[in-house]
Amino acid sequence: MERLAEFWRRLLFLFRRRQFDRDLAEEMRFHLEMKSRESGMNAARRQFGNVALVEDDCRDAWGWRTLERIAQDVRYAMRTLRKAPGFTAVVIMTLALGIGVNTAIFSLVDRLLFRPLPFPQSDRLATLFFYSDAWRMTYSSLSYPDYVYYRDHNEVFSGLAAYTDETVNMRFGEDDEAVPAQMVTANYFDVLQVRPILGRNFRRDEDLVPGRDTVAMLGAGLWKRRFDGDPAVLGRQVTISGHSFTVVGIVPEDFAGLEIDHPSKPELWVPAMSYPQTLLSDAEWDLQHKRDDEWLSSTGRLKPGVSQSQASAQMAQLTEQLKLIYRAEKIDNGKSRGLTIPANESRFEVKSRPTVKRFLAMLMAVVGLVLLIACANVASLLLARGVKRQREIGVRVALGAGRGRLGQQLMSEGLLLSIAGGAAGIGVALLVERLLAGFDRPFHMAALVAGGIDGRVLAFALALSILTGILFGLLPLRQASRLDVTPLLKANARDAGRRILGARSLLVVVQVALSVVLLTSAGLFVRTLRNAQATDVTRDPGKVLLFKLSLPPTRYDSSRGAAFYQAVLDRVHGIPGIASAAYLWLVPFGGWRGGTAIIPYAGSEAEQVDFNIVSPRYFETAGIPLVRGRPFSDRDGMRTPGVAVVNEQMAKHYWPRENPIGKQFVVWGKPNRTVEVVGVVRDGPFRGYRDAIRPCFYVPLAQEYESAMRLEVRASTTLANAIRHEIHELDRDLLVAPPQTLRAFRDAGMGQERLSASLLSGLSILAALIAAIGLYGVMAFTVAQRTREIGVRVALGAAAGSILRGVISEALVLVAVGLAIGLIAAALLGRLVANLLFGITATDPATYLTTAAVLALVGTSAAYLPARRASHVDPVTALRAE
Amino acid sequence: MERTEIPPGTLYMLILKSLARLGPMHGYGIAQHIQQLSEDVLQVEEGSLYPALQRMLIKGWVVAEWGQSENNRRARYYHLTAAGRKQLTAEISEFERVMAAIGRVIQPA
Repeated sequence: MERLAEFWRRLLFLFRRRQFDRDLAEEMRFHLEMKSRESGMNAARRQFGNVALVEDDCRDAWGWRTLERIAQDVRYAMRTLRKAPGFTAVVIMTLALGIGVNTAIFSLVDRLLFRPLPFPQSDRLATLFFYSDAWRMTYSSLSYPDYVYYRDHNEVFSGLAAYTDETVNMRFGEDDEAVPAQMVTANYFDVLQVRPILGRNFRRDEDLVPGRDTVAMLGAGLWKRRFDGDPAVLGRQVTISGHSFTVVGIVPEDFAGLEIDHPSKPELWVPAMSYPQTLLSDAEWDLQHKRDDEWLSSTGRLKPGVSQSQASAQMAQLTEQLKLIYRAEKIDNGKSRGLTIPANESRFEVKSRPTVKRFLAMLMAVVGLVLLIACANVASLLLARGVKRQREIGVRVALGAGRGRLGQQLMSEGLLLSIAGGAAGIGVALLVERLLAGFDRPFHMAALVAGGIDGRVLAFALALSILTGILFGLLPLRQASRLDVTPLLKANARDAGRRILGARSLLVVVQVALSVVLLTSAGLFVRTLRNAQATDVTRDPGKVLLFKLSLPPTRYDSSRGAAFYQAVLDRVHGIPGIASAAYLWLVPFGGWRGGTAIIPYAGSEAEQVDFNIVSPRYFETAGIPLVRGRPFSDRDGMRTPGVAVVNEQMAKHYWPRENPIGKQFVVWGKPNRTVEVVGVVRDGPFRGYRDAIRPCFYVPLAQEYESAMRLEVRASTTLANAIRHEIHELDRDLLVAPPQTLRAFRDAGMGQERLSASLLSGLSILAALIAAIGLYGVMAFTVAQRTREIGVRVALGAAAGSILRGVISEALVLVAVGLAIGLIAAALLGRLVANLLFGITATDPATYLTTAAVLALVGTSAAYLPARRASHVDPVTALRAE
Repeated sequence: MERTEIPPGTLYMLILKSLARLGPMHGYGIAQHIQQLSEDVLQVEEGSLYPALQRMLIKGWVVAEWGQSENNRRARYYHLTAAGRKQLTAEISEFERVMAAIGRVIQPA
């Protein structure tokens, strides 16, 4: 109690400081006056001693000394910085860039790797995985009966839920929307411990009988967007995939499920057992009991006291038991082992985790380099400023300022700068995040960066600022601690200047070297992207729209489906401005390969080749050149002979030095069927740009029905809605998501390459600029320091040109040293990213030469202005100065 | 006349006692009072007196108020509080205990 009262009195003091000072001064005056009556003014003063000191001691008694000194330092620092606005602006800008890009990338890495999932005790969640020896991969899919088996037989989970992602068509009045949804078991939200903000979670009995309980929970985002956040939506009917569902609850807006790398956040939840309505499956599709249909993933919450490794062991054991059932039921699903992985670590596909980590590590390293360059630049600027301030510092030392106190003072200046830089850096980070959001891959950036900057990221930016502040604040401190007061007061700062010139040159060399590393890698990754894009054989892919169509087998058998496809084509061709349209099964660069077995010659063994299904005019629509023969036509159908178009590789492989047109081969299937080659098209990679070109053939859609196709339309993006409208005219309930251009689709598969190329280009240009500023600063400083010497040389008859060349070649020496170090470092570091490159080696000579040329140019331009100033030195003025 | 520094730790007690005896006083008055009563043996330095008064204000043993001095000047008067009175009793008994102990040590055997 007493302590509290005491603290309160101390606190009040802070707000009455001025009054306190006035009172104290008056009290002292009074005391002195009384005393001087007794023994005369002079004696009184002598006896009293230093009034200011007594006042200081009185103030200190209140215990705020440190704080007051800091405030004083900050005020002083602000005053000095305001006196040098140019210097301050350059430093803050440099730091803002360095801290900004680091903050943005950290926020990405944090979201992807470090931050726990936003559920209560998410470290107690474990996701079920399987390892397959045959496929050599870890994956999470399992069937519903398997899920039930794990759920009912384990002793390690207090609850085990299953879920899968599915996009569904929702209808709102006249409007249709493709909504990302999740089909979940009834206990899903309870296991994750997520409460609805309105209504309730699913009940256990709503997830028991397939197709019986059509209930749904809406995401708060969807609820606000489509229902204006009206609470009366509970109990109302919504139309999902043409079926009526009752809304029972609203899910919090930030809930995004267990995986973070969604193309877009799920906004709708339905029970897993509503699959007859939502998955639009066949009536006899018995997902509830079919053990070989693996459509779910499963995550459980550990019982108290159970460890992750215990859970993993039990899941492994249960999987062994299930394998007995598989054997009995003759199911070959390739599962070799069961295991669990903590949910916080399994938010990516497990197989891509190492790649993701390597890529993110590279990003962090790159932005780290940029920050180092920025720090080197700021340190260099501070050193130069230190020289100008040595007189001031000398005076203060001479007047009795302690070195510690002086250090504190310089440090607060450094911190003030870096915190200002950090604050500006947050602006830069937001900007960078906005740019990052434009990259759909390698991660679904838009959904990832939507969260913006939060406390963790702010803390990171602040820590980074303070760290850099201390780092470069220490430099001038070291300088100050070596101070010898006398020569400083003698007005000549030239010698000190010469001493630090060495340090600054070193910093420039470091900056140049780091920029070289960045520029080289930028070059390598830009070439990689170019090379990757060059593997695309289509023409103007930016002018082709890609629609995904999935015809539900419940409503479309093959003949109704074929008729629907044709009807859509007819309507689309009727829209003015459409050049051509066609269907395609697997789009190149989509990550998938269609494989099938063929018997190339009568009596030979079956061999695996690639294949794809297309409609007539596909090659024309995509712009893939026909090399020989004819493309498919509308006459190729069920009643005409089977035909195929092959790629050059297939023609070369099976019919070398022969005309492939007219050759026949057998396509393995139920039943086998013979097709005749009618045309040859240009080779292109299938699954992705790194694919080796393999033999591939195409068959017409009319001869091989497929329920999931892509519609390609060569048309401007402005026609997208007209096309969707035409499709919906034919089938209101069909899910038609907004289209992508063929180029966007292709580039999405090259997200990592695009991100690397853009980020490295941007950052390396930034780095080179900062290094150029650094070099300019050093050269300007040199010239200023040597004005007198240059004056003497001019007076002795040196030509302006030779002085200009002299200064520039001095700068180029620094650049050359940095270049040499940087190129060696780049060659060494290049090996680490060698397997991220494509069509180019990590030590590509052309890239290295270009980097050298660019930096030489940058170096010359940075040195030119100071060099010109040097060559214009007027000897008379120069010799008179100082 | 030789003057002696005030023994460490006793300044609070002297100030508190002065205030208890004469009521509210200003800083100069307190110094004068101690000097006179000790017959000029104890000399209160201003450099110790005023910081000590600040610490006593923080502790809540005294409160300060501006008032009129004997020669019609504005002066800051320090008043003893209840906490201050309690502190005085504690300080005196502690002081006597220590003095008695010292006395026993230096007593001729």
